Amino acid sequence: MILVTGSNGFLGSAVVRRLADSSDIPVRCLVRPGSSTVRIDDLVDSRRVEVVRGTLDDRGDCEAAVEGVDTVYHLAAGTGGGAMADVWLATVVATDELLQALDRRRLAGRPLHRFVHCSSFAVYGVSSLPPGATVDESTPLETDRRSADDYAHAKLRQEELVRAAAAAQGFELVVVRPGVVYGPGGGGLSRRIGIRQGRFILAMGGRNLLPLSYVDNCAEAMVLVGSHPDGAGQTVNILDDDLISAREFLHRYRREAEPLRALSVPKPVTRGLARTVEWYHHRSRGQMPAAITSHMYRTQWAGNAFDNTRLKSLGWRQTVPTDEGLARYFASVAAASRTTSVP
Amino acid sequence: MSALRAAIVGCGKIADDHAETLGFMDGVDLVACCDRTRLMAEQLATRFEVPGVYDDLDQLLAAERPDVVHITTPPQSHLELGLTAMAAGANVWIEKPLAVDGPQAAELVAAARRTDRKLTVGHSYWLDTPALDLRQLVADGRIGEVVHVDSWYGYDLDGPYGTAIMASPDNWVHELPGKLFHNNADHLLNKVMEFLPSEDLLVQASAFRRHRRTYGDRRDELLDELRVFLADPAGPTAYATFSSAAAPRGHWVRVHGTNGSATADFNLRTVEVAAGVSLPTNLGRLLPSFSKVGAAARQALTNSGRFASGEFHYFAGFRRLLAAFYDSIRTGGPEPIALAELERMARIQDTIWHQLADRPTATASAGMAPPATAAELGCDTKSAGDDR
Repeated sequence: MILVTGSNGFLGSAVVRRLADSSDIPVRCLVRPGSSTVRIDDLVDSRRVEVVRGTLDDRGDCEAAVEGVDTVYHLAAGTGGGAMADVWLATVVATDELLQALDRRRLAGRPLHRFVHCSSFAVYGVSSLPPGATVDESTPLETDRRSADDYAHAKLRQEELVRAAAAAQGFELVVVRPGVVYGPGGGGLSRRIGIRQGRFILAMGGRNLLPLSYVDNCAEAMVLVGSHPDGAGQTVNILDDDLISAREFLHRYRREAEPLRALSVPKPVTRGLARTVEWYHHRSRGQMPAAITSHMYRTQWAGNAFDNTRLKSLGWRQTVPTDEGLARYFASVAAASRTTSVP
Repeated sequence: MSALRAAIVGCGKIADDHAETLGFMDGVDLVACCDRTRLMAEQLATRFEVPGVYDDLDQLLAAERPDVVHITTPPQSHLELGLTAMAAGANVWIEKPLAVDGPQAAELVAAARRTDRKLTVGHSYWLDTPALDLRQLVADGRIGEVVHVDSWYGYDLDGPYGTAIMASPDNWVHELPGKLFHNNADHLLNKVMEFLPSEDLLVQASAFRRHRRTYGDRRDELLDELRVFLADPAGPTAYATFSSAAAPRGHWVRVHGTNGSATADFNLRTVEVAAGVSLPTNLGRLLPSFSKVGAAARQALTNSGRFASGEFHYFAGFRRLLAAFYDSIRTGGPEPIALAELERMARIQDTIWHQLADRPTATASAGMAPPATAAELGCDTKSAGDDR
């Protein structure tokens, strides 16, 4: 039995689908009471997929969810954008509860075999790298947690907890770190492209490459690495082969998905703007939020190269070409836009 | 003068506002934070460079000896934590509502008096700029004798707090006597209560639900529209509206007096005096528009000046209340909100929740009207469950 947390989410549901397609092992989906299961409804019953209602912040729900499970795919996390407390609860505290439930099971003589943890590119300490440096699995993790954004801070702590639990409990650990996951049903534009307000976007990404991972490619990679005999103990970045720049992504997005108004901001201006906003935040004692910071500039807009050699060494090949993935994504955004604009 | 040592208990969303504001205040050191889930305290400590991290208030109090404890936990724990902190010699700020009910609020107030510690509650808009400007207008006689007050508080169930409440049927808000309203009623009611000072207010409340049933549990029954009529035997009346459906999510109070009326808008940060018709013929209906434009322009300039001088913070009222509370601790002066007013607020809310519970045997708090029935109010109560 495989347990998938975050199984009704954008990436989680794709992972469930891939798991159901690729093996005969039953899959248990943990879904919050009241949350929609529309993304996985067609899989339930027909292909050994079951939905269990519960939350990771409930001890009993956690214990029930992990019972009889050999492998956990842990994708549940707060996605950022809200209050830090919510992100932290959904990401760190929830993970701690899950790990404690696994430990109680181990102490009862039923240890877990493997834990596949969905981390993120956000954990890398990119702010300390020179512009243009390549980000791979050897890149040091972020150490400046005070400056890190809420999501990165929470994902860092979450990964620490998982690694500590693996060492203490003895289960096999596979850590995957997806880049920018996109596709139909996904969220909005990555901040690496720019800051969007309504139908307007400040385009700060310029010619920087985006560490894109089309959702189905990402799910396929996650299942491949998660089930790979050599996956134990590995940390693997997940991103596609043919990456494009933020500028190209936004150009196609505006043409094929939504007619956003965009203002391109050169890097020196972005850097100066970040410094100014940060300075004013402190000088005015918080009258305006530090919505753009120097740390954010270095992590999001300074520009890096990315490497997926380790992923490919495990046998992964990009199934959905980037061009096709983008076309599917933009078409879904355009369709949603038409639906919401119909009176 | 040495800095006052502050601590925060309860490291959820609202604790961020406390930690950030304390970080900008002179003469205050945030020395510790505490949450029964230690990981929660850890995240706050990391982001705001708080040296002490605890998961037990007793340990915090013993080790840190804080001068002030900010209690930002759910209301069900306010009484116990407040009493513990005051017994240890700390002054206490409690997020609204002060407690779950009137008797608990009275117990906290009694403890503050007994221990000679300062106590206040997070009525963040009490000293907000629009409230101060409106209060000045009334004090200057521009409004005349107050006849009626309207208070409106719009709530976004899809906002960060509303989402958390609706995310789980186990959220603590669902356990409060007044549920969703209970967590926000202080902001709705304290704007009218200052104009209705009597202990013998008539209170008539009604509530209903507009949001769609989608959960299959008690969240579906959560009431999200509240109307409260209050009357002071001395004359003024008030009508308080809490709405989760009406757009935009207004947040304002309007005071109607014998000489005029004025509206303080807490979202737009404006205070507008109603323009009347002062000339005969249609000219009398043409010119007030220009006077409104002029008043709006003056308000825009005033607000711009406040922004330029760094006095236009998003939570300016919260900051002002916090500063006033800390000043009262340093000087030994009175708290920024009278303790008796904290008790009165809790008693009025008890009456409202009793009425909404539709319990015919419920007895009203001393001096208040008995619960009104739906028929007496001429409107549907919570039992009218249609989506509307």
